[in-house]
Amino acid sequence: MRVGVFKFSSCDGCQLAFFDVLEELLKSREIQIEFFLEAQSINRFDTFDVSFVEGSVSTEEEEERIRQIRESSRYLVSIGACAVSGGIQSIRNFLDFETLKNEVYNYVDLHNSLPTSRPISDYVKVNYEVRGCPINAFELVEIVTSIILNKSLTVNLNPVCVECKAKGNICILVLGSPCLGPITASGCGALCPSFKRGCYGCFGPLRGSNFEGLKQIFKERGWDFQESILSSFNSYNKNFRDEVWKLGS
Amino acid sequence: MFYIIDVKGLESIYGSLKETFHVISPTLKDGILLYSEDVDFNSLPFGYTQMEGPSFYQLLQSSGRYFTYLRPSNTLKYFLRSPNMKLLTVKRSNGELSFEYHINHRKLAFFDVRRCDLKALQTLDNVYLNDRFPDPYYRSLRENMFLVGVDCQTASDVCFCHCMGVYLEDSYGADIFITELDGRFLVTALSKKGVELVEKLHIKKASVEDIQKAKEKREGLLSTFKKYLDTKDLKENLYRNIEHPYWEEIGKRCLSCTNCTQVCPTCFCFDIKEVNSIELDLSERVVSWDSCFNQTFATVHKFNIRDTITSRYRQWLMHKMAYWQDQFGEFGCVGCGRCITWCPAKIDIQVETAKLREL
Repeated sequence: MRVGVFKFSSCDGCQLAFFDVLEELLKSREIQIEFFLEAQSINRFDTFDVSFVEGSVSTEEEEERIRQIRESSRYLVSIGACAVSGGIQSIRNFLDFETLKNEVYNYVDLHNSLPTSRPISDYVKVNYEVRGCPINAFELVEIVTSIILNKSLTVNLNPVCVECKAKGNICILVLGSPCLGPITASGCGALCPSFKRGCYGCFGPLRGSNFEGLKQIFKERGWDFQESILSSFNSYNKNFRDEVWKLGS
Repeated sequence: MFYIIDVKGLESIYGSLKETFHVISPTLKDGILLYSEDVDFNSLPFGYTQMEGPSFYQLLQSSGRYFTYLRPSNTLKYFLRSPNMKLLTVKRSNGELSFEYHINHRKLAFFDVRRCDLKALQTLDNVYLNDRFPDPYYRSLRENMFLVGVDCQTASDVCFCHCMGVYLEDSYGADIFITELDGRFLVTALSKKGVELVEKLHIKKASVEDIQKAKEKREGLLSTFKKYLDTKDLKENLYRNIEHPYWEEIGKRCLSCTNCTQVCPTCFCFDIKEVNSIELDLSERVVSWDSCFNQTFATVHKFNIRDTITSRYRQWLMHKMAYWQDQFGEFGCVGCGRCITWCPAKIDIQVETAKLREL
């Protein structure tokens, strides 16, 4: 199985997850890592059975490159909040780009960013998305194993709350901490609520969850819902992009 | 068989259980009462009281009495069918498959189970130990189990067990039962195991007056309930309103977070997954808690037959209050009120059921 690991606009943190499970991955004799700039000196760009893509598309060069990768790959898996939602850099999508650029950079001419930072799925077909900032490394092993076995992957549609209660936690939202758990996809093992800290949504919005209902609860308790969502890595996620636009208006 | 003990006697019962069993009892964890294993007798939450309401929980230290607190926030099912439980391991070696079933033979004792939770255990037993498809994993734990029941002294604002078929003298499954009198405890031994345990400790037999006093204590509990649900013809009334637009009102508030099903002592729905090793020489079958509020729960051939939160809430309430009657001839709700306390959206099953039956 020919594997490629690629980076777009991102912090490299999700690629590091590969190092956490590399030993496990290489137990399989079927895996050949053909392209992974962060990990090896000799890389070959040809065709791939599966390409893992980290980062968002935020320059013209990246727009072109993601199409090439798509054309060369049987499966394309986006990994992490940047690739899945647009990342922290997608906060600019909700602001005026020109103003922002002039405020941040001294030499605007050297700057070649696009006005928006977008998820991979805004440009090409994505076969599977791995949520998280950073991702859960064990999910990579599960994906590779499933591809080898030709086993269908189930898309995780449970909220964080499911994992949270399974760990024996009590609900910190009830006890008075702002928590985005009910509208956030699980997969992190309810890491933050297990330490009595509210979920801030790094695994991104859960499709079909009750955005308005949680907004109402935050309002009743005097918590800033808009801030919690807009300052997140996942505010531009397709699942609630429209709702986030409404929050600002 | 009735006995009378003081707090030292209580401690010796506890100690005696610990010799044979893994004892699970309520204790304080981060300000919440939870069933835990290996709790010291001195760490039992004696004297605490709980204030509970819709999306509200507070623990107070109150009296010089002992069993003033109520049922813990987690339930027996957490120990009998833990959230992620390995059922089976299949290994492949030299082309041969071997199968290992993970039946748990641990001996568990629950010290301090309230009548609502005993009723819930009966409800679960009816699901897992039925004649047609008994569950060997559950059965093994159940057969090795010792149960100490305890009488509540007051009801919280979310309790309504008295409406859900939990009666004052119900003690399903309990081996011994404890009722607190003034500074002393009436111990009722209800099973052979229970009698054996108590007899070993050489404790005093209770007098007729003690037994009478305990009965009066129990009766006094009834006047402390603030909630009431009329269950007469409940099923029929709910079926009548199954298409009522009011369900939509609840659906707008419900977060579909699954808190209610996970704290419910009778919700038993599960999912089974095969976890494979990357070397393809090992496969583990894991059963996990599922919930009718999860979007994949009713997904059949990629099509979710309950795609809206409204339809999922309706499924849950109707199952508890109506479908369970069709399936098992009883309610799926024991009125413990946990789902009311732990619903972030303040949805109250007793209030909503009462409303839906009247519409």
